Amino acid sequence: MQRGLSAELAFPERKRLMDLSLKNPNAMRFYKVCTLILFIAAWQSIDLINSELKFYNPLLIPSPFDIVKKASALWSTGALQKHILASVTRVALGVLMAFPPAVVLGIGIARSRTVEVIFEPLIELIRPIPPLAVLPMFILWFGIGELSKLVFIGFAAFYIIMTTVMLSAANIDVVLIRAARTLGINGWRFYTEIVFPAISPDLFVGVRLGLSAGFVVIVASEFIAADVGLGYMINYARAYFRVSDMFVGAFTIGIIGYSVNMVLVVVERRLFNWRINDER
Amino acid sequence: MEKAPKLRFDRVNMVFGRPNQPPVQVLKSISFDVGEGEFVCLLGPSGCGKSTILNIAAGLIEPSAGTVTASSRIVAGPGRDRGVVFQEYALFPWLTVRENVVLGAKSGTGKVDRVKVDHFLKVTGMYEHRDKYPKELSGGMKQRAAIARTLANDPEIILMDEPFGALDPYTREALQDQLVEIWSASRKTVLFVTHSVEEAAYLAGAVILLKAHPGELKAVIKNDVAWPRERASEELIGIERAIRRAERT
Ligand SMILES: Nc1ncnc2c1ncn2[C@@H]1O[C@H](COP(=O)(O)OP(=O)(O)O)[C@@H](O)[C@H]1O
Ligand SMILES: [Mg+2]
Repeated sequence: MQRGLSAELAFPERKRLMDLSLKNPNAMRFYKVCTLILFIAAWQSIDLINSELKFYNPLLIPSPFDIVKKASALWSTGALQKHILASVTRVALGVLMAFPPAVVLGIGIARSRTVEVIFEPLIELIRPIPPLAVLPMFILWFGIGELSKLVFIGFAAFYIIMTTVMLSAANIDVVLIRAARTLGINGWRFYTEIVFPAISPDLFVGVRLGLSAGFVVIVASEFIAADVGLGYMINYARAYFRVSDMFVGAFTIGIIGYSVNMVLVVVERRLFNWRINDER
Repeated sequence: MEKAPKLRFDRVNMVFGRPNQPPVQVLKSISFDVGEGEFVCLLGPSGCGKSTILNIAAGLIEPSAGTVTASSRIVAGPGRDRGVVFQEYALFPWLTVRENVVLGAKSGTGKVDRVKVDHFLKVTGMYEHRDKYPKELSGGMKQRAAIARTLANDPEIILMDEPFGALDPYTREALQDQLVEIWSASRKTVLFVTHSVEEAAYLAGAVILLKAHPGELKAVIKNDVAWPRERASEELIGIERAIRRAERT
């Protein structure tokens, strides 16, 4: 690993035992955890005060403690895991479905006038349509089973991945393209050995954003037609006025989305070390 | 019978059309020959069309009029017979130095001659840096890697666009000497673009002098000083003086 120059490296005697300033990334991370805990603690104490003063209905807003208790109860019966697995699988498969056409069309539109003239008008016309607007049609076409949800998530992820790929492929450094052409790299080799690696860091970001979009829209499709999944769990809990369940469902989605993103960011740094710049 | 030149420009014109502006004529009736194994420098002020000439020779852009012939074939696009070394190095950042050179060494069938790759890494002094990524290299190292990649592609003609223009004078002289060594060992045909009179006088067997607006051939100065040449020697200063005199007229 390369490291940027820092005052600590240049003047080790200056280094204090512990740097508690906001410039120290480790201290920064610690503070972020602290502020989060502080917010949760504040929420808990408001709940505590409310149990005395009753200034809002505690049934509508459970305390963090209630939510954790509910989550562990749902976990111990295996229900929570079942819903998580269902939703995560749908998002993963939906994004996987969107991936090949998004990459092919994104690269195609950016690098071939023929592909651009055929597909771009249609794609751009459909783009502004919110995925939710077409969900009822998808249900009519693909039934209320898994397929309609996968197509729906795929639809949402497709535009995000395709747009990232298109912008990236259109902005490949022209001198690299010229170098490839003068080295005799043509046809299929040009796409697999030059274009694909050149866009791969952006493609990775596109997939990350596509997954986030998948988690955003999954819930809607599970509201409408599903018998398992976090969206279903939330909607079902609403029918029975189980507010804690709803909170568990919502926070679970938040935690999953955050974790997936964090893992991918780490993978990204590893995979695309060749382009990471330490200066910023 | 006279031997056919390796590279021939025959009355090449280049006019760039621009949106909402009148077209500009960048090159006007450019004709010159580069013989096999020759080292020719294109010298001229910035903006006179040197890169345009090189890109036309490489087949990257099409001239508005006139023809370019390389190895007795009309140039109609890029080809492996003409290698290019760009001022911006143009290394593929996702590949290590070695992988960049391997890409250059791949023949049409995708086969790679490992001995050849190592040979060119050693020739350019990049062997010990072969596993580094471009971002880990200095400008001089990047350009040496790019030269190794072009050599591994085994072109008959090497086109170089101000390859040392962005380097400090020490690195620049070291790379000039390295290039001369490679050239005299391989006897490839080289067309080298520069805006430095000293560089042209030191390297070239012939200097093609251009003037700007539109880019036109101004003079061709022969340089028959024998190798090895010595920088700032009387003879080379004489050549520089001849170039500068031709520039003024
Ligand atoms: N694609 C282009 N469109 C319009 N003008 C161009 C284009 N490429 C180069 N030019 C113009 O042609 C002239 C010569 O450019 P160039 O060949 O890059 O010069 P040099 O390499 O000698 O500095 C410049 O005035 C430049 O602005
Ligand atoms: Mg130039």
